[in-house]
Amino acid sequence: MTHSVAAADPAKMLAAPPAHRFRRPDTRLVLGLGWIVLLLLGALLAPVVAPHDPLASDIGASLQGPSGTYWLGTDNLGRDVFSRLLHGAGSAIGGVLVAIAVGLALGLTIGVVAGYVGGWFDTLTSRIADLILALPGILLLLLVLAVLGRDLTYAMIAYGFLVSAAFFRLARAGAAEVRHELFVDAATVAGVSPAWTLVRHVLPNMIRPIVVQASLTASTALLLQAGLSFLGLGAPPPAPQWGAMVQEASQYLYQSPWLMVPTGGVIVLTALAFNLVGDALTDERARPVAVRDRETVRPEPAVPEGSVLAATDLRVSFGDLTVVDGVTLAAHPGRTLALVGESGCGKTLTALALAGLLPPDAHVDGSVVLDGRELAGASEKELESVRGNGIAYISQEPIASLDPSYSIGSQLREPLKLHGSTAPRTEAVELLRRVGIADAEGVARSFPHQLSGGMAQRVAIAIALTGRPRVLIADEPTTALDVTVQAEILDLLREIQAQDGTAVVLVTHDWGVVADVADEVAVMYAGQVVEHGTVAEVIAAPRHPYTRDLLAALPEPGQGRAPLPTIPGSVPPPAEWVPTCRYANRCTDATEECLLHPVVLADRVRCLHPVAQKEESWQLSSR
Amino acid sequence: MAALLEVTDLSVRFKRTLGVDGVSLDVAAGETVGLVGESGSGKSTIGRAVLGLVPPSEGSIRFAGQEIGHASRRTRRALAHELQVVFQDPHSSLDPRMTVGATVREGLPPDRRTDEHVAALLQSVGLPADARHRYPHQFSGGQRQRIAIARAIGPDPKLVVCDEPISALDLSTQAAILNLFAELQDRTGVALLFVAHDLVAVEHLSDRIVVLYRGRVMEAGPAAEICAGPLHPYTQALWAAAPVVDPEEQRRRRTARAAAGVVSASAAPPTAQSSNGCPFAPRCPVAEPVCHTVRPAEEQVGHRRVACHLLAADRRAA
Amino acid sequence: MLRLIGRRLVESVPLMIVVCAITFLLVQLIPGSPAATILGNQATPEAIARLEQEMGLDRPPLEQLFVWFGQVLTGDLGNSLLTGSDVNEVVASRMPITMSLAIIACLLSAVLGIWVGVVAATRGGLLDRILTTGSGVGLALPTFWLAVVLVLVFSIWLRWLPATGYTPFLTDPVAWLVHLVLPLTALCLIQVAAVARQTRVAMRDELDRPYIRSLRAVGVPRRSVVWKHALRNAAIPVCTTLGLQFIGVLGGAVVIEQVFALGGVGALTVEAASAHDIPTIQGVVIYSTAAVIAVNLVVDILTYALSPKARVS
Repeated sequence: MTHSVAAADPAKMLAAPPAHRFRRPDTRLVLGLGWIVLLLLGALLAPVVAPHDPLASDIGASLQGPSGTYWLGTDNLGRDVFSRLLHGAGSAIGGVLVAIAVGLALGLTIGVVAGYVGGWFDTLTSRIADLILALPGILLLLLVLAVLGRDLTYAMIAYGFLVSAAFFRLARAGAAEVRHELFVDAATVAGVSPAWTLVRHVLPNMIRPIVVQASLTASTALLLQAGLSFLGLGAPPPAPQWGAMVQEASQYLYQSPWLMVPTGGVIVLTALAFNLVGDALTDERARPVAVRDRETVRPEPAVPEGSVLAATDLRVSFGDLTVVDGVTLAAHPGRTLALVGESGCGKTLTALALAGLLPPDAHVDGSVVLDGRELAGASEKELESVRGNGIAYISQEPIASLDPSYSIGSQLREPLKLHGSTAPRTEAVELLRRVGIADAEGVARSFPHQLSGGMAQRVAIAIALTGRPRVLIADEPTTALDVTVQAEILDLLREIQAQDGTAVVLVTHDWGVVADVADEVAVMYAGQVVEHGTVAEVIAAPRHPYTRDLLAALPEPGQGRAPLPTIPGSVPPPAEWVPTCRYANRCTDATEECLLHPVVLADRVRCLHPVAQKEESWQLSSR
Repeated sequence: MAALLEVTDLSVRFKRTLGVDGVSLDVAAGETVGLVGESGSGKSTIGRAVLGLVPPSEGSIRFAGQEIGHASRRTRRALAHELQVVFQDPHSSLDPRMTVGATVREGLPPDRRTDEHVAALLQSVGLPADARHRYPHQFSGGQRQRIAIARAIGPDPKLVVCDEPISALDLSTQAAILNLFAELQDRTGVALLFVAHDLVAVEHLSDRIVVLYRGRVMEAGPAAEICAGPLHPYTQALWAAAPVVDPEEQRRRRTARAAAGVVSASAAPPTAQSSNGCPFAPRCPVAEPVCHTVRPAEEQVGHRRVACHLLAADRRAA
Repeated sequence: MLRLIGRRLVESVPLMIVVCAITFLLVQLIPGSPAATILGNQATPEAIARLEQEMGLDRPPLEQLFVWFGQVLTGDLGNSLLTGSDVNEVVASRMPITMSLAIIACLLSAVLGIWVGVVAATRGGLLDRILTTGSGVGLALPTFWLAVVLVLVFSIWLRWLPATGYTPFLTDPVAWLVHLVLPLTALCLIQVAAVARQTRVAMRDELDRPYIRSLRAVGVPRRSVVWKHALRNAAIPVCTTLGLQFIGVLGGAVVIEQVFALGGVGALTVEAASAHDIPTIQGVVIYSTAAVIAVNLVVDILTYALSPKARVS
């Protein structure tokens, strides 16, 4: 009964995606629900099922261990423990239900209204909920019992009132969050009334967190109730009550320690069952399948002349799912390699694999060579020594990529010191100036949440530069930014590259960005590089049908609203990747042959029927 | 011809700042008007105000001759069949727990809530008729946006507000959705208020464009004309910053952009919202003292409206 | 900082008023006269009337409320119905035991729980599964049962530690500690489990955030990434739960003191509850509320210090 009101985190649980697909149910859910159902049946059928009268004492058979007659032994008066536990289950579960019912009735209704309506009602009720959560709950319950007499139902009603604050918070957060969902806006625009929206859209999307909170509440209410009964504040003896039975058992510790096992055990198991249900519903996220350690066949790395970073036959997989499939590419000092493709083509994972930053459950095959050092399969320690001064990485979420708790200056100084700076303070400010921040001192003192997206991306670039990296991997560095800010950031990258001779690997889906900064391009489709070449070659004379179709689908200025050429279908998910050409089913040029054999990357294109060179002139003239 | 939608001097105030500051625009029946601007320009807020999702602080919004700025819920419900929306994110704009059919049916007038009608609607946006039995998560982003479009056009609206409808989509599906909008418009004569930051996409679809910066109209007029020769320094800067898919051309544009000397957004001092000057003045390469102190009026230049002192001065000189 | 403390103190005034009002109202809610409940079934009407007069129950409720508020404001919480002594004195004499228990239990469970949570979140694999399952079971253990089992194992079977009793710290620090080991263990185990789970979830969240990848990308060592960066951000939600933990520990103390025969506030409350000694319980509730307010203030200050968003702007 040490628990106060257990509060589930509403934001977390609402974020969990709804599970519509049928999945093998969680073991915890099955075990938890199974025990609860068993207990309910036992409680309902106790008069019929129980082998003995719970009150019938047999002094001759007192304090016995488990036997054929007394399955769980007997207590000090020779009463059958199993029968008493069965008969006690009713009041235990009844009390829990009372607490949940009161908590739900109060918390849910008021919370949903507060969250959905907002305004003063929300402010007032939220303050009251805060107050209730700050009350020393158990002591108040003791006061309730002192005043109203020994009946645990009162205590459970009072507890329900206390936990209603937790339900309130959950319901309020849920309603407020769902309220801001676009589909609720859409329903509003569609003329759906607020009450109907509440019933149709808001409530169904809150059920899971509420059930989770209810199961947590059940567990705490049970323990609390048993605790009060243990203290002798429940129904007077000889009524069978779980907590009081532990109390009685504790009187005969010397004579019959066994008695502690069934009396406490049933409480532990029941509380555990409620918790298991809650846990199972909270993180229904699919756990990644355990990584199978495959025999790593390392190809002979073919490091192209003059490259600083070269990947050969790079493969990334999660469990059985291969998401990057045999990528070979090289980055050269002072040049920019663009990895282009749609989402789900594996370009970001390729970038992360190059930087050695994949999540721990990813499996990497193939080779990544930086300056003659093999990085694939290197230990975390080895990678730490390379990161920062060998390879640096910039992500697409500038503000989220900075630690919210430390000042910008401090976040620059830590890596500066790591890379051997003697005057980190001045160097930090110099770096900020270098990335085009006028008020460098001021920005060094500020925190990430005070920066605009463009400013934060400049800071992230400054941090990436602390170790003077030879390779800079930029993952969609401008996607989240406005177009005028994007131009500035791209200018900055170009400037840094010109000064330091950095090799840049730029991941992007935007062909305009490619045309602006890239020297070389690798086009990715479904985990593979389907075409690579210089930017002029690829844009002016694409050889893979996918590249051609993608470029053709882009609207062009001054074209009017003539229908655009489109590509039917969408990028297949990794589970549907075939060994043969993965674009074949969307490709207008595909033949029978395309569906028969795997296609290799040859002469800078992975295609059996590359676009004829003569189309080049047409492409050029159309632009 | 009377405009279908007429927004006059619209202002929307959030706690302290003005999200939209005196914007006027109109949309004729069957026309597409593009609202262009960067984040903080107020383009989405205007769309939301038209839809009644945020209350206007000042100004009027007239739809089919009726003032709807502060319309009651009852009026809004009556309007729902005339005024519809397609949001940016097709993942969150569809209720994950409702079948596609139920989602589409919800917006239809009672007499049309039949399975045949829903199936026909889904087919008209390029989805299989049996899609109505499935849930949103079973569809790709592009297909989900088609569902959202089916819901929007279901009641035969006169105007659909499209809030960044293609920016969350994959490159290969963007073109298909743009085509779908064009095709629907040709077929049904629906007017579109197309809110987006992608200039090329907006130009592709729009008859007219309104360029916004920090809640104010900088330049408005025929799409082709503005794209061919932007007049306002902000419009020029915006167009110059958008990269084109041609390395050679892009190199030329880069040089031209550097020469123009637009002040970086991170170097410019933040302007106080209440200041009277032009909001772009701190970043403007050609700003003069007057630009910082006096709010420029929107002047008619040919078919366009432009809010710039220098342009007005040029014209007076000429 | 001072403004925060000031604001929090002002905000706690309504809480105190609400608590006082609830304790007062509960007494009013008694069906029939509280005096009758107190005196039991055999009481004569005269005795009840006498007690009612003594308690001021014969006056109108509103007047009673004001009189009682007045008394609380001047620090007069009345006399115990059981012993007749001043409630202030009774509570004050019992406070040190409970506070030693509660504060040490809170600190211990914070340190251990955070450590376990961080290890579970970062190591993963089997260790994570063991720690997570362990904390799951820990949360389901009833404190009172655990306390009795600990007594059985460590006092009765192994005879390592005393089962009952308390020695003030100043009299004999070693004996003080020896007597507190079992109660603290019983009290802490569940709290450690609760804090560990919260920490594990918060750490998992933080470790998934983009800034962690950025830190690793510039070569910041794993130790610094976990303990300096991720934990600092994860500590903000954990801190908030620590405030709730304290309320939980106070409740747990009620049982623990009973089992280990420690004469603290918890034991006092149970005695008073069994004997319908309402003024004493009212006093305990008011004092505990003050303690909870104080602890929440500490939590607020910690959160404030940890989160730049709260500090700056």
